[in-house]
Amino acid sequence: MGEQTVPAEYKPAPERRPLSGFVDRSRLAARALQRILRGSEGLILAIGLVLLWQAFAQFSTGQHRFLFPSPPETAKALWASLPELLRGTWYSFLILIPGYLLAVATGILWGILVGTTAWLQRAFHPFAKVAAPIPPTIYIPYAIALLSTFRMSAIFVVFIGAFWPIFINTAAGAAAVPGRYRDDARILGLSRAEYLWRIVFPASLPHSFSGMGVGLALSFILLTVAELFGANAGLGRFVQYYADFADYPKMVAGIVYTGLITFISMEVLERIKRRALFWVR
Amino acid sequence: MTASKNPPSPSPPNGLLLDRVSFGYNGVVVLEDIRLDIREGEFLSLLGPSGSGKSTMLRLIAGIETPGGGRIICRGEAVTGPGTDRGMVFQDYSLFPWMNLMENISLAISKANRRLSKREQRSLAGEYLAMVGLAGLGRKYPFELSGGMRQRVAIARALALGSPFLLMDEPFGALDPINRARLQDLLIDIWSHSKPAKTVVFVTHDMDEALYLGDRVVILGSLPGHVIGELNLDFQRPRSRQAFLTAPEFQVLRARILDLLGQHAIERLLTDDAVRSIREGI
Repeated sequence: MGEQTVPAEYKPAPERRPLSGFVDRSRLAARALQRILRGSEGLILAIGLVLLWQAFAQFSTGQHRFLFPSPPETAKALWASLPELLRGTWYSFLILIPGYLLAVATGILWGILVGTTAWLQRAFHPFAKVAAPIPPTIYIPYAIALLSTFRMSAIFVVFIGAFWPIFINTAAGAAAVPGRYRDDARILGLSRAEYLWRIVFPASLPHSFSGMGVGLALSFILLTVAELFGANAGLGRFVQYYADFADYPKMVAGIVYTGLITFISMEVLERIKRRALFWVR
Repeated sequence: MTASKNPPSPSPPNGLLLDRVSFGYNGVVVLEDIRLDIREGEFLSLLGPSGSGKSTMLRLIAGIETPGGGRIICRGEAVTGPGTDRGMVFQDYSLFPWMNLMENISLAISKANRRLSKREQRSLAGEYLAMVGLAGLGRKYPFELSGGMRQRVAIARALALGSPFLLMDEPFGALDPINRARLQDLLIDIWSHSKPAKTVVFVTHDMDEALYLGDRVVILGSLPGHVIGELNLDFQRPRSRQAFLTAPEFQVLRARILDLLGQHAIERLLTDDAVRSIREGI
């Protein structure tokens, strides 16, 4: 009975070709659209968020209306207070840069020494384990009480916060310098100082940079938190000041602006890193 | 051509002597009772299977490991650590990746002669690069080079150290056959033209390489590493690769080495407890 039925797959399908041509064309269009969208997902998300923000501002009523300044309002406030924000950036950077650079210098130096010296490693390992996890923000009130000026204490807090990740990462990197570099350095007869400076420092630099990335992000957090406490200028201070006056457009503008500055700073560090680590493959 | 097992002659003043050297690691004996006399200006091939401790032997000579027993005398003085009189080339990693070729070589030059100015160092580094066929590439970084080129630079750097001894730990082991042959010939060319004559200790597990390059081949057996034989190769130099590899004498030497290694393997089997107990059972 069933012998007579020809299996479906043996039948020629004459209509398939033109159809598949049509499918191909629409598929091509879809692919072209995909290609345009690929790489701009971030932009699309950003536009979506701004639209959402706009919707929030538009449809909130009463005091909420007041709490959600619309994107144009915020942009206007940002433009109006740009001179003040730029001044604030300058004041903030007078704290951030010395504190951070001090942390980079001491963190790398100390990290290299500790990472390559067995007894220092034994001494510092337990100490670092206990001291590093202390949230650096907790030092702020004490630092303000201890040090004469606000700037000094804020620099100190930024330094402490950025120091630990840089130090710990560098020490780990220095301790893990491949044995072949050590052998090579010994064959070449390098002195200890030369070995540390010309071999261990560059060899552990990738680790140092990951510590520096974490350290920079922490620095911004600590900086703005410290400024909330007692500054009379700066980015954190700007936000706190206009929050006190319930000037939310300016406050939100300050938040957006601080985010931008943080992003730019991280990007600058990333560029420096890529440049310094060109040899990493 | 002779194949001899003669005991080493008394140490010449500028050679290198391994006197009953042994070395253990984590309770495992890696090298046992190594007696070896390396003559000044000689090209010595150290041939052995993996696990025969040939690399360890080189590290001991270099001074980056310390023997557990015995002593190593280099030019009349006991080896207590690394020294710039013994340059070394490792298998696959002899350059610092963050320094360009010029800087890599200049580092060695600065250690060999502390009184040179930066400019003199540079021009000298350029000469060493030219010597290994890489003239004008001083600004390149190791990651921009092929494996063969990197090993050329590693050789240039070892030469730049100006050491009378050149220790090479399977330097061409990671290279393709064509590059390997080229670098072998380059090495022999540099070695035979160096003045004063350099002493080369060349570790390899490649029988043909050991025979083609060496004035003498010392064969190591494994577990623990010890000398199981040695062959003197008085083939005239320069050797033609083609003629050499097809010469009947060469085939005889090859057979002799295989014989030594095979004998050694059988002896080891016979002294092995498990095997012995089976034999007793039979």
